Amino acid sequence: MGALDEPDIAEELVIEVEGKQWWWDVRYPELGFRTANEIHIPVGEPVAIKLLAEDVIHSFWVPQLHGKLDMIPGHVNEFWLEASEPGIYLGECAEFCGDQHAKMQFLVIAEEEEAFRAWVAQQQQPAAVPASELAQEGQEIFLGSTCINCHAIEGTGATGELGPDLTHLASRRTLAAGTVPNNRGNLGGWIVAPQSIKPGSLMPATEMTGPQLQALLAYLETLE
Amino acid sequence: MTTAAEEPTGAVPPVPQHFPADREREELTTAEKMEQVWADPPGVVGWFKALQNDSIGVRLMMTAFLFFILGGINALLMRVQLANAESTFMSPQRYNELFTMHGSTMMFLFAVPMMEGFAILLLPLILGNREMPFPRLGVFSWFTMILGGLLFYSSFIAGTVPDTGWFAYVPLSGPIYSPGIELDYWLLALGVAEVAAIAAGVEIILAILRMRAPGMSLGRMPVYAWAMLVMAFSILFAFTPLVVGSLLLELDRRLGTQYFNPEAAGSPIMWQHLFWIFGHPEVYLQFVPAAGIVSMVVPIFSRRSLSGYTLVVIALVATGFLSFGLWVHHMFTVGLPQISMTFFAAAGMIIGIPAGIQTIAWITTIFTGRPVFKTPFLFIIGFLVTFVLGGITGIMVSSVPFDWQVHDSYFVVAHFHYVLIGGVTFPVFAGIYYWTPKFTGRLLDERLGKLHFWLFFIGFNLAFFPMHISGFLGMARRVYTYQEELGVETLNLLSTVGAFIMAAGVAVFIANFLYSRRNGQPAGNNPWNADTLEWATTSPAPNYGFAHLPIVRSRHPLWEQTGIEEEDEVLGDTTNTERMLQALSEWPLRWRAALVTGAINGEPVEIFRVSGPSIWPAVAGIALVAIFGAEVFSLHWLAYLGIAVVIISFIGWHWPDRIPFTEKEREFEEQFNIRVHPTAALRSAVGAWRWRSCSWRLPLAASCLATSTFAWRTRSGRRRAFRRWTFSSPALPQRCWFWRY
Amino acid sequence: MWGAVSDVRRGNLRRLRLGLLLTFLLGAAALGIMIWAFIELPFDWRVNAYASLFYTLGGYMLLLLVIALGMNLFVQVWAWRGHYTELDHTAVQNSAWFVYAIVAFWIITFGILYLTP
Repeated sequence: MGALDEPDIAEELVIEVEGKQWWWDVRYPELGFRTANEIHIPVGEPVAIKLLAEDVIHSFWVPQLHGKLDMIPGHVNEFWLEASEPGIYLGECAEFCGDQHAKMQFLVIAEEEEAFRAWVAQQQQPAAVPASELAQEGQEIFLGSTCINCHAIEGTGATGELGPDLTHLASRRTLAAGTVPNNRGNLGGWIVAPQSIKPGSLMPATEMTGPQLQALLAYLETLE
Repeated sequence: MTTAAEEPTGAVPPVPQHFPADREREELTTAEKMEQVWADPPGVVGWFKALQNDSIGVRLMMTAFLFFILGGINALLMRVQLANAESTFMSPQRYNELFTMHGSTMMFLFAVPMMEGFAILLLPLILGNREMPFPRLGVFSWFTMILGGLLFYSSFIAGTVPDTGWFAYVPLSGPIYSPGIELDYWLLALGVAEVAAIAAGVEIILAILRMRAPGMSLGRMPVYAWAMLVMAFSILFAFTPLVVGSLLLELDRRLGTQYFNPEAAGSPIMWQHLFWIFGHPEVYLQFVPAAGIVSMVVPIFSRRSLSGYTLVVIALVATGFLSFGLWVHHMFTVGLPQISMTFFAAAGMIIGIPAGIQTIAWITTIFTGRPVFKTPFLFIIGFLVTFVLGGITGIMVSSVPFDWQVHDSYFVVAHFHYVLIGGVTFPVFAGIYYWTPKFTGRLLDERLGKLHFWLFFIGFNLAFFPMHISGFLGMARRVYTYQEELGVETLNLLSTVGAFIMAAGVAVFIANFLYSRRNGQPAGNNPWNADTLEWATTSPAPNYGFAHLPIVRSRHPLWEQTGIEEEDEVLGDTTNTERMLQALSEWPLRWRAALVTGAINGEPVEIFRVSGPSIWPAVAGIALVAIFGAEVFSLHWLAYLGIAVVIISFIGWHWPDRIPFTEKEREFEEQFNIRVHPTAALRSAVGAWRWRSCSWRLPLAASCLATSTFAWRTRSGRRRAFRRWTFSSPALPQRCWFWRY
Repeated sequence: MWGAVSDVRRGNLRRLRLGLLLTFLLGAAALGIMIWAFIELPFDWRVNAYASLFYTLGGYMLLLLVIALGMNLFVQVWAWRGHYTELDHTAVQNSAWFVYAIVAFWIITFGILYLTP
């Protein structure tokens, strides 16, 4: 802005980020997929970020890459940024948005062109078909429980929009908007007792037995 | 007599013949009578009726200090939570409540009431008069303020504490995302405290403009009075948008209006504009009186007059005006058009200039004077260091791209604490150490004072300097915890330790204050050898201030005025005035007489009657807070009852006391050629618009226009307007860049 | 109202009382028209921000009118009882100023509510 002219940005590198209490809904409209809490960008190329908010005011801030810009309901803010070095950059919400404003982080991962294209190709695929029996059982548990009210998994018929898209959940590095690393233990804890990880978050606790949980986790781990 | 400064450079101050201490005069009966007329009524009911500026000023300051302690406790608890990464000391909800209450308390219930309390206590003495112009308004202001503040804190007892930050951005604070009554506490309880502030502000303006000593022209007025004038005008213009914004938000929450709903032509950004149009002048209206206090203390403790009086006054007034043109710097990350952000960034840098002028004036005064390093002066040095640091970071954040990084991070938290604690709290302490001897008759202990200073100064810097760094490292503000990987744990731990050291300093201060009330060294009239009028009275000062009102002939009355002179540059021949003031010191002894002077030159205009004690302002204040409190809980019947009580009490408050205009009044008028107004009419203070010169056509035309448009609106005019709104898109019309959102 | 004030300054009490009465009647008529206009409004304040603003500003004007009428009533009572003199009639002046202020507010309100859409 100002002295720097707005560069020409390819349509496909326009990323829409919508802030919600307390996670980031990330959409690549031209490339045709939706993810959450993690943004991949190619190194050395400018990308446009469109900021929206669904509920209250949030603010998109990746300190190492750019200044912050607010996400305001009823209003679209847009800016562009460019990563000159590959790396993983931490982002956070910078406008007080409620109970878990402190734990509303995200990652911006800048990678070389081939790695970025590979990631895009992977994200564009629908969800992997579960191979093992346990995983298939897990899929049935998922489709039969309240999960589908909020979550979507491409290719399974679950199209909930209230929560993050889970189609490629296992490809992400963190859970609950950067709160905890994405591993089996944390994922299990997040499903049955989210309030212990992020008190006040809108994810409800889901009751299930041990074996059910194991099956579900096995399924979710296949969603690369 | 004194432990403090020696003689100032320049004129040798003699024993002040011109301002006899009343208690030493032979006519004890006159003084006793005057004391009787001016004293507050005794007893419990008398406490409610009391309106002496001494008692009201002290009450305001004590209340403000109480809220300072409460706000400080909130902050200490917050710091305990933040001392460690991923701490589980308290829940996120509790932390959010604490930072909201901390900010709101300090901004609404500590700084402004403290400054208004200083003003009400000091202004009559500094200006050389007997009382504030509307003492009952002062009572009303205090009751409203303390009860509003207590209503606000009662939210802790109810368990529904406001938790959306001290600026309560919508939609988070709106009806959907804060459905409970927490925000109603915030809006209504603080709303009533804001009314209190505006009421006191009106009184302060009139006191400074129309009730000074004869001969105290604007150019001879102490800088403190100038600062208070700027502050009071700012209060009038700044608190109004906040009251409006709070009203709109409360209507949104309770009645379903759509002011801030983007889906119905409302705008969340409008809240930010309304709030910050208040919020930015608010911080300057805290700094300006603090600068006034500094401008009073620095010369005395440098033992020379303030260098650059005119420039300092211009700087204060400029600060007041400029502060209304800066507010968007709180909104640089909202996505406003670049040109508007450029304007506000420039304005933000320009306002550094008046602050710089004042700082240079103070430093020059100190360097060319002979400083005395007593406690008030130490706090001034502390102020200079911290405020300048805060000012520098302020100029930094005024640059838009820089602000895009540090906004809503701990860097900006560090910045505003440097300017607010450094720029406001240090001078408040300096003022307390400086002026307490005048009102208690005893000096505060020097050693405890120095201990307080060093604990507070070191603790403050330890607490807030690391925040600059943690902000740069990416720690956002208003977070109840942070991850270890961020690398800010040590910095936060240092901040917590510093905060507790500050608290220790405040504890020392409280101990000092309580101890010195009984055991402090007796102060005498003028322990600091100061030059302004308040030091001409006894310590403690009598209720009526000055029995024999002084004529002021210079900027430094106690340093430069030696005897009774006949001619004065401003007033001309003063023999008549002198005789009138002599007569006024002995009469009337039945009603409270004070002098009204001209706004610019301080020439005597009339004698008028200051209101006496009454129960009605207290009743009005209590009822007003009851109305607001009732609305928090939706007890509408109580609100209606409160309205009725308020109406009745306003009537009772203004019911005219007909003091007879006797022969003595007429004699006085004729002898000294000055109007006497025992019916408390202060009419010349309200406006000098000459009725005869304004054409009757203008008001008539205005009234006709009004009544005819009343008739016109019964046509389809309003229906047309509405139709245009319902069938067009829900965006507001693009009239000006401001309201694009 | 202006007439009433200039009359009392000249010491003409009878015209003061008449002036005050006239002001009261005009004000009461205005109040009646405003209330009727509100009842006739086709929309409710919940519809959108403009509607909210209309009701809020209109309601505020109503409140100011009621206060002005109340002040006028008190001043009239005292005027009819003969309390005011040439020199001592601050309450009349104060209520006159208030009326002028309301007129100014009404002009601004009118501009906002009727001219800007």
